[in-house]
Amino acid sequence: MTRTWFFILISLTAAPAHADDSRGIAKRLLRMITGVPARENDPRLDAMAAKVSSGDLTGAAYLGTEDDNFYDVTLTQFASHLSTREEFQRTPLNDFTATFVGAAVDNLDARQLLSGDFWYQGKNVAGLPAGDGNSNAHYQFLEASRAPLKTHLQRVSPQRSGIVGAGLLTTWTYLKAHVFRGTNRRPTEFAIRDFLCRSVQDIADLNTPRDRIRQDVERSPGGSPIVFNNKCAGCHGLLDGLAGAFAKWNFEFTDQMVRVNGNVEYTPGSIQPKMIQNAANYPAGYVTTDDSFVNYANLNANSAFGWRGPQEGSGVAALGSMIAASKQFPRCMAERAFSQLCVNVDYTVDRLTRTQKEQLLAAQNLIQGLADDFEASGYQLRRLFAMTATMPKCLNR
Amino acid sequence: MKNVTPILLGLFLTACSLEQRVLNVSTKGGDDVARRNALLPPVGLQNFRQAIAAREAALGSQLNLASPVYAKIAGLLSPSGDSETTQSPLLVAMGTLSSELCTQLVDRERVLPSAQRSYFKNVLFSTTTVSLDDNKSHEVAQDLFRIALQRPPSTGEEAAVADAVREAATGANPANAVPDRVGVVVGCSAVFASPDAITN
Repeated sequence: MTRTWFFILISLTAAPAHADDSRGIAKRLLRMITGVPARENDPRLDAMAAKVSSGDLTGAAYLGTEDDNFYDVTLTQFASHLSTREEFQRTPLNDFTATFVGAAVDNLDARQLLSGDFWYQGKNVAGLPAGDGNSNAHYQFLEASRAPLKTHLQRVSPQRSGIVGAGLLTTWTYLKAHVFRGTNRRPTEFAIRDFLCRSVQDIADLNTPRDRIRQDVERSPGGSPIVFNNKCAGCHGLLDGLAGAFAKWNFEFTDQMVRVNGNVEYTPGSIQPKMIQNAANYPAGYVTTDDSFVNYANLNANSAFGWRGPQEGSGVAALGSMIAASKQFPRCMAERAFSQLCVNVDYTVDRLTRTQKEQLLAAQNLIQGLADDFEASGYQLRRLFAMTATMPKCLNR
Repeated sequence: MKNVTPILLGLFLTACSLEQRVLNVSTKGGDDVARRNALLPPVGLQNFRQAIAAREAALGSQLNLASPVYAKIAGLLSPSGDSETTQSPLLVAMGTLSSELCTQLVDRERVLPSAQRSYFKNVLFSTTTVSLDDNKSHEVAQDLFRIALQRPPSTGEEAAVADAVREAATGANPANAVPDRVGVVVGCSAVFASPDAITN
């Protein structure tokens, strides 16, 4: 039903336009996709206008995704604030952002971004230092060169020899942000925030099994088991079940004062000590012994995520595959694309204003239609953004 | 003068833009929600990436900015494009960025023979006298809207920018600067810092 309405709306928008209208619509589409006003003499406008005239709005928008600024401005903006713990947009180019952009350039299935053992590095830039895996120097040099990402990125696989990578989730930037110290729950929490568009608080469920809650979680915080039973268990029950996937990963800065450079550590035969720290808090709690995980975030109200495929496994790639296979993943990507292009806000869980939430709520059917199309078209990011730009709410801005 | 005039003129253009928006709303009819939505976002600011890329697209090449200047400007522009990030430093940064763009654009054009220029074909850029009379300043205003906004100016906008261009050129001291250059850069900066040019 939703899909039907979606295509009715698209077809209404796609009614053949007059020549002048066609060029105007083409300009608006190009501006929407690139974030930059289209120049009157832009050579692509003619081809785009011709497609608009024939009613092929998506085809016109897709042509717009050839523009360098789609990658350098729109997609870089999209990925940047997902790459850091603080969720800042003003983040230097890094391996996370470059890999996201590169996947769009190469029309990869976006699900691979969470499980594929690859990343993207720069190429054909004079003086570009090699990507050393211990700093962001390679990407900052690439950004400073102002070389268009569309033509200066190359896929590199595997990410690290001897270690199975998991796309964005095992990039240096993501690990730097989320597995430095702590308890390695944060990378899972942010995987849910970034790719399922929900905070852990959103999906807390007091009725999940508690057998994976680790020893470091006090069962009577402040002397009261009521707090644990009515609050802590809601998040830890499902988060601790998933966080085991990162049990073998760690990050240490080599410059503790400024925290710019650092090394990723992976221990293939054992877990990181931080996974079993503070065991005395509750000795009867779960003891992590490997990087297995189990998904308890698929019960009760959380079944709405539309999980598909195996619900347990080992390692980050398996976790990423599970997240990417859910129905919520394409929906989240669609929601983010719609937010950026049509509501003019970078979707950040918990930070949307009431007005922005209302605008997204009012567009739920459109967003679901975009998500369905994204999935049906093989999870191609360019297609998602092209389709989003043709939404009446975007086009009529 | 160089810093204040674009901002004052930008405020005038803000008024024009808002007036147009209110007119659009009042002619739409419909219920209160439609009216409210018409006034609220999706109008948003250009984020820092869009603001810089848009000006480089207008220039046709990358802005030649020293790294510290680039970082300072980018650091003051909106990170997200959210209209709620509109603050005074952001508007100043937009003005500065626009001034940098316009200086480079005008300097590129003015050294070319008139026939080879893309814009400002009839401006002499003499080091001693002002060539910007009424007609030429209106031509400059039309050029500036074409460059910055890809549309012709309204009558009011054209008159405001033409006046500013002419007055800035007339007020410049030829001993210190090329008067026509000052006039065109001031007008250009104002148009590039106007609401239409800094919003999505």
